Amino acid sequence: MGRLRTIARRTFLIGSVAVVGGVAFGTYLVRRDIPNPLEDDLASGEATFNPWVKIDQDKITLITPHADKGQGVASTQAALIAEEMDLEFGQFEISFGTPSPAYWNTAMGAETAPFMATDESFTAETTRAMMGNLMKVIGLQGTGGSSSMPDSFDKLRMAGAVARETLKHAASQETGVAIAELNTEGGAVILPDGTRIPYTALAATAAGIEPVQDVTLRDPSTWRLLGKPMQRLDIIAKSTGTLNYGIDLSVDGMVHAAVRLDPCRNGQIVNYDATAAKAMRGVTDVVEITGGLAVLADNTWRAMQAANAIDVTWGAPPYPAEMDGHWQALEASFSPELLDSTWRDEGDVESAIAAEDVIEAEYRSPYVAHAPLEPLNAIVRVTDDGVEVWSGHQMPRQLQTVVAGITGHAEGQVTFHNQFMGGSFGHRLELDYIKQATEIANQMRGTPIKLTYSREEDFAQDFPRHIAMGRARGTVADGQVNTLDLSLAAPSVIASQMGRLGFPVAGPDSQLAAGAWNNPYGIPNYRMTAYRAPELAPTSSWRAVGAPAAGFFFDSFLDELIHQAGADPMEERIRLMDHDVSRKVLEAVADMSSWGGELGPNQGRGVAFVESFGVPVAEVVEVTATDAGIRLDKVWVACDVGRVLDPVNFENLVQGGVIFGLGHAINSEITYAGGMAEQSNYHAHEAMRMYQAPEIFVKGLENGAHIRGIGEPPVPAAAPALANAIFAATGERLREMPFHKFMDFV
Amino acid sequence: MTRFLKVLAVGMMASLATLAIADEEAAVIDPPAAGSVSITEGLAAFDRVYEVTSHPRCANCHVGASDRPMWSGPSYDRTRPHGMNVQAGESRIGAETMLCSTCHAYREGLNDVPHAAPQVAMNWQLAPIEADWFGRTSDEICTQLRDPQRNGGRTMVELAEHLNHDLILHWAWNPGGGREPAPYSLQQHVDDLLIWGVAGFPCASD
Repeated sequence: MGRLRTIARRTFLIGSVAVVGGVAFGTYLVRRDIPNPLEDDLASGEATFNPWVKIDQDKITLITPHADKGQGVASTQAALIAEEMDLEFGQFEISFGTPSPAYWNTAMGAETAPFMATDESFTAETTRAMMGNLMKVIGLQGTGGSSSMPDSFDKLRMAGAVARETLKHAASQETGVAIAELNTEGGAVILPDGTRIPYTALAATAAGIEPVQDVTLRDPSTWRLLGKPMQRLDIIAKSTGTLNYGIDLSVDGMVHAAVRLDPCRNGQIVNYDATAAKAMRGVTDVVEITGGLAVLADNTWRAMQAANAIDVTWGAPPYPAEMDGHWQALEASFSPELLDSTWRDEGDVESAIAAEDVIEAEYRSPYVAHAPLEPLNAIVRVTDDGVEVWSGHQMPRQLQTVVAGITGHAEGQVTFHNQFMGGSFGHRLELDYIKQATEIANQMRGTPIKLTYSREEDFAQDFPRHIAMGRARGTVADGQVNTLDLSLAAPSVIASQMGRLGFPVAGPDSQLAAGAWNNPYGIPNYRMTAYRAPELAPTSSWRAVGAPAAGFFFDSFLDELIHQAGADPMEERIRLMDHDVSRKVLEAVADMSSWGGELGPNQGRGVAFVESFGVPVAEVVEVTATDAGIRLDKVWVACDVGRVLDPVNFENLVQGGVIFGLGHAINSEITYAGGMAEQSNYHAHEAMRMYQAPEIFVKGLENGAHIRGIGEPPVPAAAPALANAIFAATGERLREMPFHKFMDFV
Repeated sequence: MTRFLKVLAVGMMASLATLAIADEEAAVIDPPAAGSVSITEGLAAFDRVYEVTSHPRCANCHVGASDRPMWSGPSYDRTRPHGMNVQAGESRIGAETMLCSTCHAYREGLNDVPHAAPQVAMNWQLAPIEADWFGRTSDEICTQLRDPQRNGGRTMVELAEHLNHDLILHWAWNPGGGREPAPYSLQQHVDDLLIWGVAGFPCASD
């Protein structure tokens, strides 16, 4: 009952997006078929059965529209189609395809519904379905929120099955053999006598057949590709340095550009002198763009050097110039008028707190940069007839919209060639670099412009992970955790990000406290309150969005309470866990790590559990306190994604997420001085070094009812597990990231 | 490139480097007359010598048996071991499979890119273990520097000449890339060393 009442008070962030967009959200719009974009330029003899499969006489092309930022999703999408089509790797090409509402993300909306992932009630499931429909209505094509596999799993297998059955139909038409007697294998239809007709040979006939929609998906027990280790399609090119990323591309006649943008992000140039820059070798022009200046030159390096040589005086930032002001704003945000939502309120926190000795703690999580290895870049060519864009981006249709808005073309005249990306971590959800490249190219119609950010500009212009502050109170009784009351204050990432896309948002932000409100613990008195601080520095979704900060606060404080109760950190978490799938994750990690076993001198272990994007993740970190600092020895991770589609890629993604979470927890922070980010490059915002990296053991469980993505969920539990391990080894409790401010790591 | 050409090229670059010192950067070694410097003046000179020796430009490579050069000073947000897990090895020129000069290679002119590996000397290396200065007090460095067992058996003049010969040391006053140079100047440092020497190498704890 409590749940229903809570929901009735809430509006949905994404809901207001649709209203602002003027979308009438009716049955017709949900049910209508969206045109297949592959039909637009289909040549004679080419066949397409749906937006994901195209076949001609020479080759089979599978469209893998989710952006690949290194997570390997292009391969897994292709495998989903290939499994049902009976294709082997090597028998097809892949393409990211063209932006289209046909590639709407069915799964991205579910996370915005304000229900715990563990809530499978009718109301919760209905709301999620509604959010999915909304995604279709607005045609939201996007990669993010670890939604690629949830979005693709059924849809792409269905696409492959439709193609397979239609090709069998074509073979039957050509040979006269009944469909029931036909099989498929290795990219061919097999006749009863063993004759193989390659799909490519059937393309012309298939092109004239209405795709067969009544298909059955393969039973997982018969899978040839899925569920087994696959060699990623990009791995040879990546390993040999031959894969072209956006930053590697060139277009004939292209001019190089670099930007010098307002580091205070207010777009205000008080004055500037570009005389020296214009006189530098190779420089052809300096032009004004929104938010700053752009230099055009005959190569990237010269453009960057000249950009640095411009003498600019910038205006004041629209946020506190110094860090103290940011933290003070958070401190002042724990007030009733800034209440965003009380996400959990179970038991009777106030009475419990009044009756028992109260344990209190305050936590902090800093701004951190996305800092992908491949700095932002884009090539744009604007002509009177249309615009072409080459870049890596996670929101292709929003890209089309903003480019068309700048140049005055129709959205359909904007052709986007999406590229493999050298990382993103959320940075390539932003459109600024696309806008800037387009503004420059629009001033030089006919000339392709390649904009490349320097690393320093990438850091200066990043929209980092939000800062957050947590204030926790709790009680223990009879050796057990009794009350956990966590309040969190942070600016809304979603509001900042959606605001730049032109979508005002309303209602509570479920990401604000994700990782703290959605952990399925049955703590007797459990309250989670989120306060929405005013917008400070502009922020953006960073890998796992809200959960790295809120999960650190929540699990660290739970660990403090368990310590106070004198209970075992693992056993007490298992005892409190209210959700079978999640409990099994904790039990698995306890088993893998031989929790409770002997430890060496000065060794300590910490466990943390954080649910993120529907994935329960438990991590155990083992450290040794050495004379030179903390050494990370081993990490064990168990998580549940419902179904592991590629065990090797899965393991790699989890390991990468753990390293990412640990490295940032130890080393990384963006601070502002004079309104500008003080950290300009990796030296001051380090990744984890290879020699510091622990051995990481991974187990993917398959008990969950829904298939989930694993790109982000391994990140949030890493920091609290490490802090808890350090406490176990040293007795020192770390309540603020980055940890290197308090101790050395070796 | 053949091995012969490589050797030739390296040799030529080394000669250029030596020329650069000889022509532009060498300090004049001109010690004050014997007996002309008081102990007080000698101690004051050593205070300045300590400012130089303890400065990150110098101290970062004067590490001991840890074998790990350090990153400290205003170019870094905190003090920590060199990030690439380099080990100086017995030779002190880098673990023998990956020399310091792999990254700190010689190139003509300074590498002015902040945070890129400084590239100025052919033989980028750590100071000997005996010259372990990192994090040490003025008095510790003082007694260390005058101890023949630990200073390579050098006299006052030989200490000064040593400063003149080593390209890395010259780089400390002209590090480029926005790095903070060592205080004073090479000449001033050589002069201070000589003043201190003429005063009889006094240390505060004497």
